[in-house]
Amino acid sequence: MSRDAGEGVCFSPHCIFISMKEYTYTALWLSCGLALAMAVSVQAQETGAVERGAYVFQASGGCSCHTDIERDGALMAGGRGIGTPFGAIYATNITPDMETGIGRWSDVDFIRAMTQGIAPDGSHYYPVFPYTSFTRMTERDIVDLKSYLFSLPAIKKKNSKNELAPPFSWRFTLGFWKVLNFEPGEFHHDKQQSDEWNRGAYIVEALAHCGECHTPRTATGALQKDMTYAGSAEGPEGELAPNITPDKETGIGTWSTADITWYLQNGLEPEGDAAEGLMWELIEHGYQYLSDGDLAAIALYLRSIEPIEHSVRGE
Amino acid sequence: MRTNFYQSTLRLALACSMLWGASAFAEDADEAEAYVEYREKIMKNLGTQSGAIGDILKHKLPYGDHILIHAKGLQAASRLVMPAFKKEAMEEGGEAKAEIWQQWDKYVAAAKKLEDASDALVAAAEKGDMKAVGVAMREVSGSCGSCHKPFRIKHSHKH
Repeated sequence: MSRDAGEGVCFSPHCIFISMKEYTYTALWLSCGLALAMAVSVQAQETGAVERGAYVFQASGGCSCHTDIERDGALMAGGRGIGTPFGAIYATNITPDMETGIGRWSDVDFIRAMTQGIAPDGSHYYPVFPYTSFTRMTERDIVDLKSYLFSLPAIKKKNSKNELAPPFSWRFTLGFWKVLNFEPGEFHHDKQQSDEWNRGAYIVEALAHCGECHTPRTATGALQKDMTYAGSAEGPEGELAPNITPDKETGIGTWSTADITWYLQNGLEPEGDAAEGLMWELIEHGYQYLSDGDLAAIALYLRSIEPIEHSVRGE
Repeated sequence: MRTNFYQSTLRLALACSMLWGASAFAEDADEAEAYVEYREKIMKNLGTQSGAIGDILKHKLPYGDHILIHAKGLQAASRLVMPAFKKEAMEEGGEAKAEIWQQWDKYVAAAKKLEDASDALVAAAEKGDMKAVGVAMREVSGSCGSCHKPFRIKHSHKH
C-alpha cells in the first residue's frame, strides 16, 4: 500500500484516489498561481499602456482642442469652439464618462474614429478632428492613447451643437468629401532613410499632426498637398500658422536643430518672439515633454523636407 | 464787390482751417508714430533678452554668468510694458489692437504676468539653477504669448 517510489507505482483504487486528490490540489494551486500571475501581468501591461498613452497624448500636443482652456473647462471635457471658415465646430467630451463622454467606446470604436473618422453610430466626423493625420498612427499607439484617456476623471458634460449652415451641417456629405480628400492608412517606414528620420516623420505627420494647421486648405477644406507645411493664413481659430518648411526666406530654413527643439520646449523663436494661441497650448500641454531624442528627430525631419517659398500674411 | 470780398475771406478762412486741420492731423500721426516706435523698442528689447538667454542655453555657450544680466534686463523692460501703453496711440499697419484700451484691466493683468515671470527668472538665475531658469523661461514665453494672442495683430508670420 505504500507509495514508496522504491517499491514501484501503486495502482490500487485507494492509491489512485489519493493520487487524483493530490493532482487536483496541485492543479488548483497551479491554476491559482497562473491566474494571479496573469492578473499581475495584465495589470502591469495596463499600467504600461497608460504611461505610453500619456506620452502619445503629449506628442499629439495634449489634445488641447478638447479642453476649453479659456473658460477653465475640465481636462478633455470638450466644449471649446473651433472657428473654421465654415462655422464653429465644438470639440467633444473625450473623458471616460459613460453618458456624455467616450466611456462606452471599445478599442475598435476608438481605432475607427481615429483612423477613419467614423463615430460608433456610423456617422462621419468633420476633419477639424484630425483623423486625416491620426490615420497614420500605429494601432498600438492609438490603443495606448485610449488607455490614457480612460485613466482620466470622467466628466459629465454634454457636447455642444456645432454652428454650421447647410450644406456643411449635413454630415452625410462628409462621406463624399472623404472619397475625394481622405487617404486612410498607417505611416510607411521609408527604408531609404534612418530610423531617426522615420521617427521624426511619424511624429510630425501622425502624432503631432503639424500639417493640419501649417498647410493651407482648399475651398472645400482639404489640405493643399503641394503646399504641405508651407503655412496657412487661415489656421484654426483664425490664427496664422507659419511656414515650417526649410525655406530660408519665408520658412524655418535658418533654424538649427537646437533652435527647433528649444522652440518646441519653450515656445521661443530664435529672435525671442513667443509662440501664442493654439501653438503655445500644444507646447505647454504636450510637445515640451517629448524626449530629447524625439525632438531631435522632429528637427531632422523638418529640416529635410522640400523648402517652399510662401509668405503667410493675415489682415 | 463786397460779395467778392466776403467770398475771398471765407475761402481764406476755409483754406486756413483746412491747413490747420491737416497740420494737426499730421502732428497727431507723428505723435502716434513716436509712441508706436518707442513701444516697439521695448518689445524688441524683451525679445532680445529672451533670445540671448535661449542662445546661451540651447547652444550651451560658455556665458552662464550672462544669464542673470539678461534676466535683469528682461525684468527691467517688463516694468515698461504697461506704462508704455497708457497712452492710446495706434498706427495704420501697427500691431497693437484696440482691445488693449478697450479691455485695459485685462491688459494690465497680462502685463503683470510678464513682470511676475521675469521676477521668477531673475530669482532662478541668481541661484544659478539652470533647470529652474529653463522652467522660468517657459513661463516668460507663456506670458508673452498669452498677451500677444488677444492684444497683438499678427500681419504676417515669418519664422
